[in-house]
Amino acid sequence: MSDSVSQNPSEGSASGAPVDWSKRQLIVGTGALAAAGIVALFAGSGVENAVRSIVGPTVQSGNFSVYQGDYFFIPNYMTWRAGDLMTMTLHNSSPTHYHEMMIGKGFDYQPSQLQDLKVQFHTDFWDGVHINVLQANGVDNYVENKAIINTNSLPAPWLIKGVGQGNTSPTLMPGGTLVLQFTVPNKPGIWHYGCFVQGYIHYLAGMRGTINILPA
Amino acid sequence: MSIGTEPGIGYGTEKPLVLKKSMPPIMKGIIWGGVGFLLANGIVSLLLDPQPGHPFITEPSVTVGWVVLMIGWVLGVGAWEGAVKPAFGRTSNWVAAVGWRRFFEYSTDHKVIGIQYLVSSAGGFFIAGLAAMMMRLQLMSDRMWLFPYPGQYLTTVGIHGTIMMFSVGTVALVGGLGNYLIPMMIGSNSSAFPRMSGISVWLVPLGIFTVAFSPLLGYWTTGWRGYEPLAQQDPSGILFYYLGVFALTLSSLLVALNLTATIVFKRAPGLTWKRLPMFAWGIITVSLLNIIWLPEIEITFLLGILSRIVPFPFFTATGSPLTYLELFWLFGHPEVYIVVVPALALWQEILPVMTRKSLFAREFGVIGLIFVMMLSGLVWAHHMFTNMRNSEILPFSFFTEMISIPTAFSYLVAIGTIWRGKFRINAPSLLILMSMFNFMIGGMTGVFLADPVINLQVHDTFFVVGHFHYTIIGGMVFSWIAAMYYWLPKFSGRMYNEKAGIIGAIWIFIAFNMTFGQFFLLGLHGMNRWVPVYPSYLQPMNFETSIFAFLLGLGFLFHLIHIWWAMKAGPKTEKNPWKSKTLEWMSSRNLAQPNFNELPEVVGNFYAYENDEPVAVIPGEGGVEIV
Repeated sequence: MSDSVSQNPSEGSASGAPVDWSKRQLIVGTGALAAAGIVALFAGSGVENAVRSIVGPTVQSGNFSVYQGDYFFIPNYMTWRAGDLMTMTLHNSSPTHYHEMMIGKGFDYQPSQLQDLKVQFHTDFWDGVHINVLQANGVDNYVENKAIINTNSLPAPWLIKGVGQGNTSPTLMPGGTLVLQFTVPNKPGIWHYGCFVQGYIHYLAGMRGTINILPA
Repeated sequence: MSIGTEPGIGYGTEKPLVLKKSMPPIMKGIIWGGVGFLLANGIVSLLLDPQPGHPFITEPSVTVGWVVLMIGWVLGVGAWEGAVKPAFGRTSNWVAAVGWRRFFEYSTDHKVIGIQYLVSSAGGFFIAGLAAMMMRLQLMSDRMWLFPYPGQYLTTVGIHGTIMMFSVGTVALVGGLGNYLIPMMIGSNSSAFPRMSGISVWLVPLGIFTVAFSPLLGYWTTGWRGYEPLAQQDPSGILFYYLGVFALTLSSLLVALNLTATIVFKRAPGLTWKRLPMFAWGIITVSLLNIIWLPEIEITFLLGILSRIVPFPFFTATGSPLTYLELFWLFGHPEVYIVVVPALALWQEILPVMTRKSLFAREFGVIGLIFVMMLSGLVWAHHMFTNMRNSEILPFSFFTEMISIPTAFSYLVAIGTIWRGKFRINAPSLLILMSMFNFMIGGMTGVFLADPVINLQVHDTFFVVGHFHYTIIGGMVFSWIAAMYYWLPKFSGRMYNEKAGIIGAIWIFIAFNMTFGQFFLLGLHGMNRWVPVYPSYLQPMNFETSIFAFLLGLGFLFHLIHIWWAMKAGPKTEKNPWKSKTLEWMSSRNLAQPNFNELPEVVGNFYAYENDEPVAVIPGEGGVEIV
């Protein structure tokens, strides 16, 4: 390094003393780390989208898991292919909160003092879809709406039947798990999922995600 | 055993200069810490405690990984070569760097460490200040517009408060000015535990970055107080709050131990307790507060981490939501006196010099500092009046109002010193007067808040926010800037520009009062804390408050640039331009030399400006110097 030996006239002592490390390494190293940190902090989702658009989506198939937290989904982006048989494990990892998972497009609104609240999706993704419940622990209720839910032999006091009770959506108690099996319907495009419980505030707080459904 | 002969301690010049190529210590610390993190995190998340879905980063793994990162970082930055190897009797290759490089590695020189603390604090101040600017930007509208989610706003509030309190409020005057000035002020060549001090300073940048980057792990909504059980349901970012604050409080605790031992054991001959400088009194009282309360809060945060990662139900059991609040404020209220007590001491340090008058009622000044320290442990529950019975409220209300009395002793001493003196108006003295005015507003609104009737009405509103910003920015930050101007000739041998200093002082005084004065009005009109959206009738006032807040931020930036410029390129000045009598002005500021070639003997009162009696005898190279 060119500056590994530097003059130090200002200190009055030890001037011309050999100095044992490189200024350039320090500046480049810490600068690069700072830049990476700032990008991660403020532009993380932009980087994620850019990588996704370059690499292309990873299509989910077979078994996969979705975790619910306060107030987020992991993952918050999924790619499904129409016609695939999927087994989804939905687990509410919050120790304190109930969470649901609606999938749909567009919004139904309700006016409030501060802003119009999004209360549910306008178009229900599950409309006409057959869903097999393989396992259900700690599920508070499951709104059927226009889906066709087969609970097999499981006791099913939690199935809310009939239209007009909101979109198809299971509500999991803290720690609850639900395993569903379904064939992805031929409804390609961008769909969204979210949780609207507690006065629709979970969705507002960021509990949402996107599903990109590819044509078969 | 004198300083410099012991391995690992000394000045750059006292060893044979060895040309030793190595990585910059900071990069070494980052790499040791980073590799340590990956290893420890991987062992926990992949082998010991794999979790569903096998994520690489889990809450237990990131906690263990961070602890190893902290150790790797301080060892890499110089503690391994400078402190650990000699401690085990091994030969150390450590050579202190010279020039600007000494500030970017482990050092045992209290002057270097003081400047490292000051720069770290200033860095924290501007990072947290940026967070404040983002908050004010969001609050310019009554709807969400800057932040997509409320959790992001609340995390920003938390980052602002946490970094300001634990890396600026607690650190700048104690770790920074205390480390730099105290050994000089008491006529010593080093602090009591220079190696420990050299290690502790590197915990500050680690803590600041841990908190600042906490959103990478998840948002947290508790603010600087980490309230349980709310924290238990926050996303994982709260872990980085606990860990970052752990690093920062550990640093402050080590500073407190070091400076207390320094003041108790390293005073020059003749420097009796009766002659101890006021700033040293401030530092020793604040250090005792730190030694009492920081371990308490660190244990509380440890319980918070354990209840998160094990998990234990320490704070979530039925009927115990107040447990954490009590534990937090038991530390939390002394904390605000940890912030302000050194500022009160600075008033009493700077004012006699600027008025050329003896310090008035010095004993009352000391008694005031000590009683503030003692009473500060008896007032914590006034943060929880909304959750208490009347019978519990009243004693805390009483002690809270009582604490204004020893605080007022500081005003008594300051005003008595100015009274009929020839007051020199310059940047430091003006900033001290402004600090006194601001702190008076903060203190008087504090008396209102101590009153249960008012407290229950304005609880959790901007009135409270205005109150504590008046005490902390108004009291402590203004005094900090005053101290930076006052000791600038000591730090650099150069002088700042008087006009720029005064303009800057007036600038921040107006911007500060216009910002936080309006916080009181906003609070009385019903503006709540902790909300990014609010009723639309409050929008116009919030909008203009934000404008003044931006001006305040720019004002602080102006002072930073001015002080930086003055240190690099200001006009050269004499050794003791203020004609102060305290010992730090008699010592050498040269970083490569000890403060005093021969230890001075104190023979008089540092604050007697009405006579020319000698204060100290310093045996020098050219004979004995009597000051």
